[in-house]
Amino acid sequence: MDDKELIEAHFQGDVQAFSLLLDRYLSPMYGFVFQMARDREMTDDIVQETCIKAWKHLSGFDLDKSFKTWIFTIAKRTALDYFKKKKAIPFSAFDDGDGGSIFEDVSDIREKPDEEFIQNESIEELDKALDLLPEGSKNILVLAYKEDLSLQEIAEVLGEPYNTVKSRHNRALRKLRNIMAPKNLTVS
Amino acid sequence: MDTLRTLFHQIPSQEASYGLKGRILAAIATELEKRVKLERRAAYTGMLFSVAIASIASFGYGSEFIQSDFWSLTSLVLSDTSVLTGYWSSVAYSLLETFPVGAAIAFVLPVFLFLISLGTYSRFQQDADRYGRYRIGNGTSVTA
Repeated sequence: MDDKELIEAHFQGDVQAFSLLLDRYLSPMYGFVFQMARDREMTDDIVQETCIKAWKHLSGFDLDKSFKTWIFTIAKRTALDYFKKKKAIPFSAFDDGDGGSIFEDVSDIREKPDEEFIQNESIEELDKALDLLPEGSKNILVLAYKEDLSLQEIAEVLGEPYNTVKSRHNRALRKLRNIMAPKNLTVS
Repeated sequence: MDTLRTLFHQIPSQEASYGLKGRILAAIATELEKRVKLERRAAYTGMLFSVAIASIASFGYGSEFIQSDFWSLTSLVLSDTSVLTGYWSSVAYSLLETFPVGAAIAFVLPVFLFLISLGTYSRFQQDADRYGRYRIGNGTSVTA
C-alpha cells in the first residue's frame, strides 16, 4: 500500500495503518533528527513528539502531497522548538555558517549537479567531512542525497525559499569538495 | 565510479532506539484515551445542558408562547384553512409580525446544542472503539 492508501485506511479506522507508516519513515526521520541533535535521548524525545503531532494533524494533511516531506517538516520544526526550549543548540547553528542569509539575492540557476567522486575509502571520509560542515549545509546534503528529496521538497522541510535552498546546496557541495579535496578525492 | 548519491546511501544510518516505536504507539494510545474522555464528557454535558435549557425554556416561555398572538393566529389558521387560502398574504405578514423571537431562540438553542452533542457522542463512540483496538493489540502498541 502506498502512503495515500495507508492514510485513508487510518481514517477508516485501521489501527495498523499508522503503525505501517511509522515502519516506513521512523528510521529516515530518526537519522535526520539525530544529525541535528547528536544525542540519542534528545532524538528519541523529538521523534516521539513529531510522530504524535503527525498523528494529531493527519486529518489536515493534503493527500496529494508527499507524506515524507510533511513529516520531515514537522520533525525539523519540533527539533528547533525543542532546542529553543532546552537551549541545547544555539539557533545560529542552523545558518549555513559562512554568513549566508536567507534574504540574499540568489542568481545561481544551475540545476542540482550530480557530482561524481573518485573514491578511496570515501564513505568514512565523507561521513567525517559532513561533520565538519555547518549544520544547515549538512542538512541540505543529507536530505538531498540520502533521503532523496528534491530541492523543492527540501525548501518545504526547511521552510525556506526554493532559490535559497538551491544556492545553499551548491555552496554546501563546494565546501564538501574543499574539505575532501586533500584526501585523494576529486570531483569530475 | 560511484555517484555522490550512492555514497550518501552507504553512510550508516542511525537506527531508532530499541522500543521507540512501541513507546510512540503507547503515547498515541494515551492521547486517544484523553480525547475519548474529553469527547464523552463534552457529549454528556452538552446533552444534559440542552435538556436543562429546553426545560427552562418550556417553563419560562411556554405559557408566554401559548398566550401570544402568534399562537392564536397559528391556531386559527390550523383550525380553519379557508382563512389561509383567502387571506394568505395578510396571515403571513401577521405571523411574521407576531413571531416570538425570544421564545423561538429559547427552544431552537437546546435543539441545536443537542444535535452538536449527538455528533460529539458519535465521534466519541468511534474513537472509543479505535482506542480499544489500540489497547488490545496493535502489534507493538504497549509493549516494545
